[in-house]
Amino acid sequence: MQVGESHFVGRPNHSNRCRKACRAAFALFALFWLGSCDALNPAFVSLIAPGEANTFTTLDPAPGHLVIAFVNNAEVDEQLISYLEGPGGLSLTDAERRAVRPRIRARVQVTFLNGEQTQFELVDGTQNLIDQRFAAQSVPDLNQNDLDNAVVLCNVSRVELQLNTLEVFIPTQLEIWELVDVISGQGVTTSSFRLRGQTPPAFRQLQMDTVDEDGNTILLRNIGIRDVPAPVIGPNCGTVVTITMNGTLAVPFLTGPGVEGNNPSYDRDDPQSEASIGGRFEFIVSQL
Amino acid sequence: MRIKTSLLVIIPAAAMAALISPGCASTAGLFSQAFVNTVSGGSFPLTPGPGADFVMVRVINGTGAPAEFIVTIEREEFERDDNGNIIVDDQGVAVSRPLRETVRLNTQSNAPANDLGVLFPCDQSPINLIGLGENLLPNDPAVFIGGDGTGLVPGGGVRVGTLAPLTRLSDPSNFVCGDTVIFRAIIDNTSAGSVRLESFLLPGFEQPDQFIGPDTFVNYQDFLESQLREDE
Repeated sequence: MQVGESHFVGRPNHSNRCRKACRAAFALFALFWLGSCDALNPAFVSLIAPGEANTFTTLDPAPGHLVIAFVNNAEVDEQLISYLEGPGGLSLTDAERRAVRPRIRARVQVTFLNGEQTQFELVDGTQNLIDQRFAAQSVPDLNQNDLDNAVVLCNVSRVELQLNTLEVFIPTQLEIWELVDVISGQGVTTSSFRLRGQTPPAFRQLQMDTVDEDGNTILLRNIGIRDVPAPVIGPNCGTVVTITMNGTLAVPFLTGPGVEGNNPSYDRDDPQSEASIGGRFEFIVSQL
Repeated sequence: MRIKTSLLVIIPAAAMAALISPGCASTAGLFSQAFVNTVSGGSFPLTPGPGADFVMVRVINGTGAPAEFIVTIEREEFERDDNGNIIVDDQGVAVSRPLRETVRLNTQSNAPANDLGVLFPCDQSPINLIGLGENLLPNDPAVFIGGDGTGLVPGGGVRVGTLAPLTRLSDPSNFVCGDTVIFRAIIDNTSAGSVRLESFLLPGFEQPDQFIGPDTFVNYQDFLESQLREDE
């Protein structure tokens, strides 16, 4: 054996050789990867914050976004608009009358793949749609700014509009009447409505129809059981989830003996009359 | 032996690089596009993009607690007549007035629920100011830290401080339609309230022209245009 010549006894030691090979592999891998990309991720951002000179910071790029949009295509009943423009004192231009929409708000819950959840409140609709005799200051919620869309990070496992948070703004006072029997001095019994109370303009929860075990409608309310907003399961990253609301905002105008004026009102002993407050709506949920 | 070892290193390295660089070599499939987007981009847009009708404002909560961001924009609202047409003055210039909109974005403590954005239309009325706080003033609360994370129970307020709003009034290039403006709140013991507020700009023109995945914001814009009612 000559000087400098190695002589192994037993199995050769490969650990050093493996480490070197791994390091070389990693370096070559990084070189090939960067070299095959003609541009680094353009989402890497560095910005000089306004007012802070010579400070650079970076932000990790996002995996992508999911847009959740609410489209309010609902209308307002003509009789209600006429009442608001008449006794209600509301002044609408022709353009505003054509574009008027009921004020809606609802909460949307987003569940991500890792189990985290977030919520936000959608608000949309005409802000000044209110009986002017009830000052807007008395209803601060009416002046809340619109939020008709939200952008969340990927990946999302579920998007759901929470039905129990879905509300529509009733823009007028509602009179509550009760039909009572009145016996005159001559012993004649007549039925007549008596005013029992009033509710001011306020947000009112929209409710689903009441059905029996066979699915037959017992009481018609605001949303049919087939028209509720369905949750979106597993929306793809980069897509748009749209929740479109159609329908008409309406309130009952009770007529009958003893009812004074032609104001929004209902018979408190008539479940159908009370259930119709708010109008009728349907929801279409889709993914683009 | 050495040549054989080198080949054993080079060939797998090159193969791995080719397989997991789909953002560049369009060989997607091995990893989720969302993951790829964080590494090399090109799968999904991160801004509405040049020519889009929106500015996206994103808020990122790095405080470790639920936070509610108060985001305000100021736009030029054009005056309209009874028929909805824009009113112009004697010189033909549209009559406008500044109008502010404030939205409250509730974020959670953990990712990805700590990140929330909103799209502001900027096609019909341009946006001139984007910032935090209801009045865009230094003493306004910009973020409420803590609370229940849904906005129903507010937390403690952190002032806007030195984080000036982004404005196009002094420099129209500060942001344009199609950009993404990002506000972030992080823990910093050297800042007032131990929370530091930062702003970032993601220019729309820096995004790729095409994406492997769906073009999120173009799809949203197309959808809105299809929803125009007959009377609008």
